[in-house]
Amino acid sequence: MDKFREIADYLGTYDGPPVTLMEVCGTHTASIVENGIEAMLSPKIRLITGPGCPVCVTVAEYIEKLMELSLKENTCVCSFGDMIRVPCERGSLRDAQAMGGRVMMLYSPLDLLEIAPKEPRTTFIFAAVGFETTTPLYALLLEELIKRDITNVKLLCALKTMPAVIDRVLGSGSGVTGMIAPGHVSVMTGSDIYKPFAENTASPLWWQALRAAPCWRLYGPFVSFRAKGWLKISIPRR
Amino acid sequence: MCVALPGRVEKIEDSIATVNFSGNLVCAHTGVVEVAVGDFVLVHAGLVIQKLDAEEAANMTELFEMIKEIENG
Repeated sequence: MDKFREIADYLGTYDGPPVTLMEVCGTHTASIVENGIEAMLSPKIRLITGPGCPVCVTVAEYIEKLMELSLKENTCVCSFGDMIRVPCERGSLRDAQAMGGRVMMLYSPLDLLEIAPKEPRTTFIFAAVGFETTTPLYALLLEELIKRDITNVKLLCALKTMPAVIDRVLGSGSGVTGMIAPGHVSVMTGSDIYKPFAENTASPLWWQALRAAPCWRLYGPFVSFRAKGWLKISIPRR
Repeated sequence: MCVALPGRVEKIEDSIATVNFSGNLVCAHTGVVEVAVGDFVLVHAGLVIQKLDAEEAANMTELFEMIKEIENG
């Protein structure tokens, strides 16, 4: 607990060069908001929410397509829970459900390995969104589908890769001086994908697991690095 | 879709692990990471994505306990 107080005091009273930090991941954003972390920081530290939630950055046309598919006969659109409420101009998947569409919320795409064979006349379409974290899961699903000869599952892909997004943000004159890189993506990719950004843009990047405690623990050393002028990538051990 | 609490592997049958998250049992596929009973792991959307060493898992669990204490006043 003392360690927390020490970091909180440091961040609350920080008076060095201004620091603008972006958390890439949507779950980091949620943790920061839920725990009131921003209100506890010195005015010299600014937090900007990043583009790393695959659900939030899904384009409207994709949701429209899913809605359309859910209304087709013998078709069921499957999705992670958070995607179901994301609206486009025509509404959301939940609205499509209210219009008579068939939409199923799944914890994991792999659940389809049990569900799909029970309804061979239905085509199950999974809303395959995600970054590097989720892509192997879809690959595993496809491998298992082929192995088990299940032919009524399809993926509607909207997969993205993180380096292109980070490159865009850091090169856009956004003023971001450091980034908390996405934890789960880093678990899959390793940390080397961030090195070019740290070297080329002089922005430190730090990856960490999701949720508030690690987030909070991160800001202390992060700000301290900026204040001391450390410009290289800073990555805790994998 | 993203949660990163550490869980403990209780059982493995074929490629499916039963993982204990503070008493909640969740099934997770082990196709990407090799795990054994007793390992601490992170699970993403039904897939084990990382094995943690016991010390790291204990540190994370301790941090979450601290947060719980702070939230409960």
